[in-house]
Amino acid sequence: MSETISGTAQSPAGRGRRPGSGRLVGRVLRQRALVAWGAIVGVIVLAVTFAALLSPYDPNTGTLADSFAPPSWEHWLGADRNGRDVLTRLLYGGQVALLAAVEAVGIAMAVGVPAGLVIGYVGGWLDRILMRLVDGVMSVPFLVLAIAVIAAVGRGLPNAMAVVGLVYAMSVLRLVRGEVLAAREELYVDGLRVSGAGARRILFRHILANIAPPIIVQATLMFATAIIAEATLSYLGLGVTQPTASWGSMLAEAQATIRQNFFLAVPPGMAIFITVLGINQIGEGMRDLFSREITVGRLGLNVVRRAEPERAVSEPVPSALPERPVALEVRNLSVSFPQHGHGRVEVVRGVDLRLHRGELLCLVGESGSGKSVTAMSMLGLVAHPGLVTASSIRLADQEISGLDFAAMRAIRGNRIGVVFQDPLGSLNPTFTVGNQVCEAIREHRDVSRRQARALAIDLFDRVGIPNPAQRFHDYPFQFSGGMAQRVMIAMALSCDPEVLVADEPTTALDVTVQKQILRLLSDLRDERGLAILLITHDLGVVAEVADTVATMYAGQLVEYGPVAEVFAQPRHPYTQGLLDSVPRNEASNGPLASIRGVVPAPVDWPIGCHFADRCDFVEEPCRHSPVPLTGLGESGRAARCVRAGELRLHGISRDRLDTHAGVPSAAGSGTTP
Amino acid sequence: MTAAHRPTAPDDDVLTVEDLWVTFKGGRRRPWSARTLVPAVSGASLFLAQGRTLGLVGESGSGKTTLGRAVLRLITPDRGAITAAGFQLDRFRGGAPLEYRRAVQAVFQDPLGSLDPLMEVRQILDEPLRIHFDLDSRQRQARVRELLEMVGLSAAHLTRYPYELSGGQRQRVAIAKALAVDPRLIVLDEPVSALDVSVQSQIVNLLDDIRRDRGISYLFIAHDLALVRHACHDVAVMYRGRIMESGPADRVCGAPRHPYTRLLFDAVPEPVPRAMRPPRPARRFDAPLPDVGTGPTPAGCPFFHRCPLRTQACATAFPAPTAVPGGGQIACFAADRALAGGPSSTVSALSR
Repeated sequence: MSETISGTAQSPAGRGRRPGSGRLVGRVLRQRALVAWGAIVGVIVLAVTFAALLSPYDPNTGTLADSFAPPSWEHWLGADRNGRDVLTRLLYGGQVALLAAVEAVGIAMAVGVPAGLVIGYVGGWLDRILMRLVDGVMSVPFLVLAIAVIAAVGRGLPNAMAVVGLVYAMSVLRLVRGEVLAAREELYVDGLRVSGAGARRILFRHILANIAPPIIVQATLMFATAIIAEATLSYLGLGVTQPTASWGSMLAEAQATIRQNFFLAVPPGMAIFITVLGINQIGEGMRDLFSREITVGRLGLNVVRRAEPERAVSEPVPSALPERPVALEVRNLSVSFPQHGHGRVEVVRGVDLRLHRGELLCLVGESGSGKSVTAMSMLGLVAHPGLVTASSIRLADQEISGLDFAAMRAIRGNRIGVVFQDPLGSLNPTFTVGNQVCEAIREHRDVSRRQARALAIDLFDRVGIPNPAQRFHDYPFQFSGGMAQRVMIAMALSCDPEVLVADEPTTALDVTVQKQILRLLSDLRDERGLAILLITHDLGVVAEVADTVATMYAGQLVEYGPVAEVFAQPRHPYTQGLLDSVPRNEASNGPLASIRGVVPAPVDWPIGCHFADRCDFVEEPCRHSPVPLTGLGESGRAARCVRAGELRLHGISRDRLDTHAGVPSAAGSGTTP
Repeated sequence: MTAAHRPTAPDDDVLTVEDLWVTFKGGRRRPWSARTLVPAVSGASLFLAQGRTLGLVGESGSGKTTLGRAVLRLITPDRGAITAAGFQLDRFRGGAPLEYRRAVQAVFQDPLGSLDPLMEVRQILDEPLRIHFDLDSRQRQARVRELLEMVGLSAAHLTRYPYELSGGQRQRVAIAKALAVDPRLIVLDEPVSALDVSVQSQIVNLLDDIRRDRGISYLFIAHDLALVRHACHDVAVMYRGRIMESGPADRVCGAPRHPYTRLLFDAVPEPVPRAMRPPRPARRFDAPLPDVGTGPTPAGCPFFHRCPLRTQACATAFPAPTAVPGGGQIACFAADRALAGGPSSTVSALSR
């Protein structure tokens, strides 16, 4: 199981949690259905195994006096035509069923897993020939095969189940081969080859362990079908011979006497039903167990709730562009996720943002700073367990916090457009791009198909896609990353939004293409007065296009202001640290500057300044109490730093200013993690 | 093909790549037609000396990673000679021998994907020791701790799984794993691209310290041009399988000569707001390209369709590298014109 917890908002690093089996047990216990069904199947298996201890009767002999006896104290489930105790036969029949299933699944695994591993890893001609053979075997119904084998080697349940096992082996082989083919492309396999690991070590020690979960699930589900197969074979007389009890043969006998006693069909029927259902449920439970855990930062739908007025709302940040109308204003936005063992953990805390018409605001920060979650939460795009609250989110003159799903949907795409990092992943590969843009237009506007098409082509032209009328009919795979991002921007613009939110729109693109997309964004801002919120980690991008910049660190806004002023003289040491860390195209002198340490996980945020542990200018007051984001009184700048007034940071300038007496001259260059 | 930029004497070479060609099989245009061949690396040559770092930069699809994989013998090239740490790779039958794996190691871009997710850090570091050396478990344990210390991690990280570490810590583990066998050459395939800037520089500094201490050489594959200037002694710029320009890092990054390299460096955003930049001539990216009366051919220069300096010759042949002042070489027929402009006139040369 290779679970990942995405680094967007929570980093599980640190904190001495012991990994390993203890946690797996914990996760199993949280799957209540799995535990319940496991208990039921466990009771069945135990009862069946110790049948001889539980029942005083012999399964194959009875007294005629008890023939068709109804359920009673002596015979809990009655007796059959020959006076044999039904419960006893049920228990012994269960032994047959379980042994037969163990045989079939055992053969399937013993043959299918090694063969699939080797075929998948070696590939080539061996793979092609054997897979056609497998296809051939799988196209024959197993019953026909079983009858043929029984005719050749003689009757008996073991022979019949061996055939079942071989047929199952083919599907196991297929599954394992497919998993190996996928795993072979994983980077860690390359890593192992470079380490000098041989094929056997890679296959059996590494790949097998990594693909074990789907195989275990498959084996479990197969066990259930093997029980049915055994019952079917015995019912048809191809399995156990009289008078041995089996659930299938009991059903056959019950059918023969169904006119005399209807009830006899119920116990074996229920036994098969409950056992198979239970095992299937266990298989499903394990599938859930092995699948990746829900990650924070994944998109979902979630409304923004109005914050209760418990937290004092800080003073509004001064506006950097007071003369322009406000397009989007966010007050006191917080996002929290439940985390096992910690209750609700805030990953974004009290963010205030103001975006004006024709302004491009960049939200920067390291991964784990909460910048993406902030933007997505305003749009109601945070995954389910997340809780988003805000005192107010105003879109021009409309309050949008507290709106329900439907109302938010009308706003998203209509008044706020969104562009994501991975353009090709955001487009549906099975439809033409034109089709998808038209759909977006018709979703929000009442226009005909033809009008939508004309609008879409016009938009394609506007975002700089050459030959828009022809490209309209192309599929996403026919677009390069840069062109696909233009399509995404066209789609976001399709309803003439007032605000565009772009989450790392150029991170996946080459620099030359990035430059074109950034140019397009700034043109849209200038020409249409679009307000753009651009989330990025690249300070070069910020310098290129931003009017204003907001730095986020560990869930909080730590600095805000016009980009030229912030970059020339930041007021927060974190902004300075980021600026120092960016490699510049200049002759190298000495080691690159960096910020020591890592962003703390949300559960580890200190009471005082979140940056205190990594800061070179930290003093006692920094750690005492939460630091507010304070306006600095000059052209709309603000910083969340106790020492914002006294520190003189050098910004992008290469000659470092003297900070002030007794403090190190620059943000750190430590190397310990 | 003439030799590529060679900054040092040949006996110091830890890696030489000469006229390397790699093609991949693509799909079929029609069901009955032969599979198309996609060229990934076309006649690339490189030299890397002991204790130095060679940066290999280019955009996606330039073939830089493929070249690195050929050096690691994860793929077999069609043509060309690679000699690494004294091994001639074309003499290998099938996979590389263990001796080669001891001499040449790798660190990949995505440290989460490149470490077996089911293994704890100590198992990850233990494995190469088991494969390559005959040590008892106490010796291996001691060595694992030593490796962790070397990369700035502590014993507390021994029992962590990769997903429990931060990106930077994971990359430190990947570096420790590569160092376990004491290699002479490490192929670093985008080792810091997935990391935050602040962590990026920590890792680059760590790699540089290790190189200095142990005399290792790095083939540093990257797309961040400014970073490469800090992390490398020499740089080779690739575009669509061809090496366009190579030379000392300061010269290539400070005064790029090839029209492609200039375009590339011009596109790198610097963290200097527009208002604070020195005045520059207006950029013209959409300037019409010269019409030379012929279209591009597969044998020609791959930059032909975007090049402002193109000539008729560029369409049909790829030029041999020519030396440039300041060190290094460019592969350009218009070398004389390309040389005319200095770094400051980059833009004017392009829009001319």
